[in-house]
Amino acid sequence: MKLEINSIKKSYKKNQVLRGASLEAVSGESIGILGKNGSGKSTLFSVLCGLVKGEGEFLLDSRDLMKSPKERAAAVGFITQEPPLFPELSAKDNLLLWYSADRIKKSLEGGVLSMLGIGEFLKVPVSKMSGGMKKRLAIGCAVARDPCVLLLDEPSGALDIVCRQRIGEYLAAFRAAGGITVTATHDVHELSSCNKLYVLKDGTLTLHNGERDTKTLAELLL
Amino acid sequence: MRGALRYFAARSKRALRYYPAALIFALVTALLLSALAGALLFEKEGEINEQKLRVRVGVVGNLEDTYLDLAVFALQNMDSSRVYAEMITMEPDEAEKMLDSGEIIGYVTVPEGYVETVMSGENQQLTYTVKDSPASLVPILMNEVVGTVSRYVTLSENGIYGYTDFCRDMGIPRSEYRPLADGLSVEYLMTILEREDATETKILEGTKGLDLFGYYTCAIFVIAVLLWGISFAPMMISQESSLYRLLRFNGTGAFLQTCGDFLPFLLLMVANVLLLGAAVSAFGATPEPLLLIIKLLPAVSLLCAFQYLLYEISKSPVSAVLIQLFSCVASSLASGFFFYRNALPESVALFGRLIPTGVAFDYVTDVFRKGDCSLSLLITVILTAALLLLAAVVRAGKIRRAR
Repeated sequence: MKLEINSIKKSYKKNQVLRGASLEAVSGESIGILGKNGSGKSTLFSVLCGLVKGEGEFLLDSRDLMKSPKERAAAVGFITQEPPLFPELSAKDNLLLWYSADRIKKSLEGGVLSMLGIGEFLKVPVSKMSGGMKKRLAIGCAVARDPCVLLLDEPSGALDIVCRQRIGEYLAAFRAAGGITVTATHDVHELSSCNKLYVLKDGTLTLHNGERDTKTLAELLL
Repeated sequence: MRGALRYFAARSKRALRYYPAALIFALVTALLLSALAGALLFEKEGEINEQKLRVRVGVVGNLEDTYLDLAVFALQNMDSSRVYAEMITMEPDEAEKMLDSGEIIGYVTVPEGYVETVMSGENQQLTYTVKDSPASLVPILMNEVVGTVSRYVTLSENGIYGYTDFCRDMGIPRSEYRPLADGLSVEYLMTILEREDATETKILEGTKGLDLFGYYTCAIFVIAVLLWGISFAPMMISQESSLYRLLRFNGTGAFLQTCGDFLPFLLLMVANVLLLGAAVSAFGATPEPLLLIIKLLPAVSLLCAFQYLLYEISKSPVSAVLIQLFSCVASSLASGFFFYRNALPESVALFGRLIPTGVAFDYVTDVFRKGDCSLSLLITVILTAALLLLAAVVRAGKIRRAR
């Protein structure tokens, strides 16, 4: 499976946020995108997900997902920065937005929900969950359609080490099964574990093949 | 569509968690507003006991006719324990306008030269024009008008007695003046006895306006629905923009999201209103209030759509509640809920009729009058749909702007 994101452009009035961002990935790869705040990382994902209009191509095995919203929704899982959850409802009620009751049961027995450990807090209201629980639940919601590509927008914000490890293990398993993850993040640890690192600067993506320590990465953004 | 249904189910579950608190608020509000309505009714009945039911009736006729003037004067100055109608003379155009606005409950049209024709033995009819008033008032007022004419005629018989006394004093033989006196008496008697055709009642179709109590009952109903809508604020204020984005990504766009948000709100408001109707029906041991409430549901939908749009525009819980309160008060004022609509400046009154509260109020009054509601229903439905579409546009903008 091959993922190609070609020449993504987006402007807001006179402000050209993305000026032809492009990247490539194959099955099992983890792509990291590094950029300053306001550089356009979330805008890039919004264009790829069809939430805002933009130009360019989003190819998966040569099929342009920008032209086929249904195919895109089936092939791509989008994990937003803020968990897309109803705070008053329990984990199970939130999952029912994306899964049928049968699928939840099966997935808790040996699927993705089991891997994410959601069964531990299935009946807990979201308002009483920790940040890590919410993030795991959000991932569980995003992968309901068994996508082969995951777009993760700042997945590790305010998570404890245990939670990060758990999510990391799940994402590793996802890639091992042939999936592709594209992660926009500031987290150095996450970036260091990516197969490819792109830097988003001045509206374009540039592949970085050098060192990935904090100092080097900070200099890249200047 | 499956996604939209799942979203609707999730929003409904969320709504049900907030409903008990909203229901308590609705009950408290209903009790307070019922107490207010009861106080108004008690005050109205108190006025009736004190003033012996002073309803206002118009009198249309040749105001220069001294006989008509005399009759009205006599009515207005009779013993207050017997007079329960305030008779006001007016021109025909003015009478129709005042009947239309509910300032009078009906008007009597006295034809030109009526008294002379009655005195000469003809049986010309008076016309009494009403709107859909309680039937009991019509015969009462008919009798009052007829009685006035009878009293006038009866008093005129004094003229006959004066004539006979004069003839006797002048020494005219009885055989000469008696036949004429008897003839005059028979004429007057026949005029009095033929009362069943003395008046006709014309009911003016399609008139607007209710009596003041009916008017304010309709206004209180609309205000109650608006207040209940505010009690749903915790449920309606939703800031899960990331959820909206994900739903949009998975095929549940802004319009379907709007439907999924609006329908639980509407259903719970309908439940509130139906509970109110059922309670009033149970209290009065009659199904009519509940049936009436069911007919008012289109107005409830319109008001809910209006409030939903305001919730969608709001950016925070505090601003949402403030906008709702301000809109409730301002639109109620403009639509004539606090002051009778005709008392407002024309531009304000016109504006008040065009906004959602005014449209809802017009529909509610049409239902209360049991008149033709088809036009107001159509306008209500169209405006409801327009408000929901506007809310969907606002939601689409939120999705685009969210990060």
